[in-house]
Amino acid sequence: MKNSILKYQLIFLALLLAIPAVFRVFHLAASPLNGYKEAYEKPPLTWAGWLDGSFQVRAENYASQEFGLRSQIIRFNNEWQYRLYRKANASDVVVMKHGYLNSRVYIESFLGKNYIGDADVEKRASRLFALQQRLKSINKELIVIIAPGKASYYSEYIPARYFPANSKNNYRELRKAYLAHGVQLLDFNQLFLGMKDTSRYVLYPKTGIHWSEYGQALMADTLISYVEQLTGKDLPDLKITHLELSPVPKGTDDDIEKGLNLLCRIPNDTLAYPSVAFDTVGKDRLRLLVVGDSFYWQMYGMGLSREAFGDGQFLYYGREINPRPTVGPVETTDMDLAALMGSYDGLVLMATESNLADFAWGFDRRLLEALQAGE
Amino acid sequence: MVFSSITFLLYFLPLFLWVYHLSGRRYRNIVLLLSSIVFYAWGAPRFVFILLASTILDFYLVQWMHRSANRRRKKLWLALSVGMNVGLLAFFKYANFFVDNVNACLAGLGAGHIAWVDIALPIGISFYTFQTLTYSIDVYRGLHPPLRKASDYVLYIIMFPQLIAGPIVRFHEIAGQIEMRDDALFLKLQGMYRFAIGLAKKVLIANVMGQMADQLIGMPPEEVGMAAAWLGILAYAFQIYFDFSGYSDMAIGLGLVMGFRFPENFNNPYTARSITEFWRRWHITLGTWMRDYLYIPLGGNRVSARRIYLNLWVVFLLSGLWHGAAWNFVLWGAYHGLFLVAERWFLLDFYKKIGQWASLAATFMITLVGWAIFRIESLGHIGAYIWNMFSFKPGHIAAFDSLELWAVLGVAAFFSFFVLLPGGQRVQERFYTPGHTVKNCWGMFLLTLVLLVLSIGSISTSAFNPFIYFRF
Repeated sequence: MKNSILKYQLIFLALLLAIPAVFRVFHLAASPLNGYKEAYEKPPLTWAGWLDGSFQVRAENYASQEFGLRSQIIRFNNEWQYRLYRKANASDVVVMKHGYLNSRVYIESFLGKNYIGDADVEKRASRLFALQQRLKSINKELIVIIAPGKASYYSEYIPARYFPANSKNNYRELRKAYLAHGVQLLDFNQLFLGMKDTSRYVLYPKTGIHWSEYGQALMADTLISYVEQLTGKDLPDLKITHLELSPVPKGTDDDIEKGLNLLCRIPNDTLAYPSVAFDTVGKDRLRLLVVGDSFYWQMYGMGLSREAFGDGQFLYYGREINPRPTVGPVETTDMDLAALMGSYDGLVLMATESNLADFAWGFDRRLLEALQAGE
Repeated sequence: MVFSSITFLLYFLPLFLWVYHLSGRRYRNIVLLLSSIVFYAWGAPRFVFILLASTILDFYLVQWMHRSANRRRKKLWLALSVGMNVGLLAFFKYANFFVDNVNACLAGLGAGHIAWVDIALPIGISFYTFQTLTYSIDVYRGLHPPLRKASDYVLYIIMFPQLIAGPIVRFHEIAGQIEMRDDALFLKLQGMYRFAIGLAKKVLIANVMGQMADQLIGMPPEEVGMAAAWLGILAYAFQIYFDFSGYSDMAIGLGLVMGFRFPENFNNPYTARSITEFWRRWHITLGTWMRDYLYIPLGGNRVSARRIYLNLWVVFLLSGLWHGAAWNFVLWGAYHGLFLVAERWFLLDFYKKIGQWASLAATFMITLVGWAIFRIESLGHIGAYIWNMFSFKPGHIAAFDSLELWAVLGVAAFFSFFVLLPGGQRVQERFYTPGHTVKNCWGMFLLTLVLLVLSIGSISTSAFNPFIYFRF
């Protein structure tokens, strides 16, 4: 063995270890990772900080997050661990059977691990019904929507380690209680399950946590029809003008996969991407306020609130106002909700299965109190 | 700073390697010494001053001992050196334990309590103490003359590859290498190769097994069935083995890169056919230290059978206590001591009768029960856990349907028992110490590359990265 070859091998290994630091210093090949990243500040070196060890802790945190080629190294690691072990290196992501991605929270919610209890179910259903009646008395409607949950939809793919399931979950018990009280409920979860075997296109994408763009377009149309039935109004029609088929997910259809930070794409089903338009000519105008979770973002994005619900606002988790006002408060925290409701013809409350434990994030209680106070 | 951290692997190590090798030979010890001080001060910024001061003082105590012609005075200097080092260990490692127990007794008697502020355990103090003791005792015994320069002694003690978690390098094993060592390129490649193997053992096997062990052993005892109890302790057995032997590999590898030859610390311990043999294969440098500096001075094998049994038991009780200032470690030492005595008494004859496979299985089971004592701090939980291991209680382990956990468990089991296969020993030797051929060098280089990339990738992604032996 010639020493020169050995020398080059050793130099290569020493360089290999030094490359990330060099890349960091010169900010080379820095590419961001998807998902939440806790930002660590570069710590100042002080004698006191060194002696009490706080500098070292902060420096290690900073160094472990700021070295060169970090995103490439992490993507490479995530890739081989995913391909070999079906392991997801992302917080709360579960790789279910056949590679279907889901969230631990969704699965545990479906299995009843966060069941709020019979008394709470009853209390919440009563309150919603009271709110519905109060709104009706001032000629406004309340519509409660349960958006589909991926754990319900693909329950057959849930890994064995999450079982046994509890006998009750929030979805089933709240649904029963809403119906028993007469709450105006639109259960998209049930609708999705009914269409699962007959739908022409994928309703719930394999690598996303939200409904597919196709699925939510169908449900947006269903929602318009439901409001029309309830109010007797003729609202703008939603039309699918074009349907593009793609084997590569777009938009939020692979939102979990993006968070996995892999090098290569996960093979997916062919997904349908509708182009939608609203026929507003000669239609009635009805203004609806929507309080919902991320499942409404897509509907909001396609223009449902703007075109069909009279340019109504979307209160994300009952708090954040969308579109973001240029003047005045951007959150509902200290708002007079009764006054806000005064400019609307109705209220839509919407949450997916896993968010039912906190539904409707206190907004229903606050609004009911505000309306009762104004009586 | 642990070896399996980004700070060490991507900042400290490459910087050290470049500076060390670009420095002239006569400056390399200084580079190594300064780097070691920084390395240690990073994790123990206050204690490093005590460590440096006591090491320098110890150097002079041993110098004076060596120069002293008077035998009584020699003993006095030795006693001072040993007393100072053992005193540091006693204070920093055992004072909290002692005060807690005294306070528990006082509380039981209805008396008051001793006011005490808990002392933080400096990293690596147990290894530090044992190495300082070997120096003074080896010089006292005339095995080696003392070092000429205090800086060389500090370097021997504080050298960063081995200070934190061993192997325990006895002074006479390394004395010559501090001043003169082999600088062959092949040795350096072998060192990097060994380091990468150790890193992979720690990151790719031990950490994964640690997750499994933590989940299963951490479950409430009433929820643990027999299968889960065994699986949990099996995962822990592999975690502690691949963690500790991985660290030793990394230390030995880094030593080789600099031309030091540190002693081996592990030799397939789970293939032992008795607990006596287990201790010749597990943490070898601790076993030999205990033998040479404790068991033999107590009389060794030259005393009566009863006294041998007592000495063995005392040595293992102390060995248990060395691992940690807690009753479960004392119990673990006593448990191993009990089997060593039993083996001397009758058990080895029994093992001969039942054959090598049965004795191997029995030894492995005894070891696993021992790990339950070692791993679980609460004495009540230890009993409940061991009870579960033999309870025939049903229970499901569906919670562990992770492909990674089972795959790594299989890999860990394979490498733990691999040498039992025909030709396994030979393959292992060729794997760990390949000959100096072109083919082997390319093989080592490529495997080093792959293991480094996989390990760094895993460290970058994972936040679960504790080193078990840092506690001891």
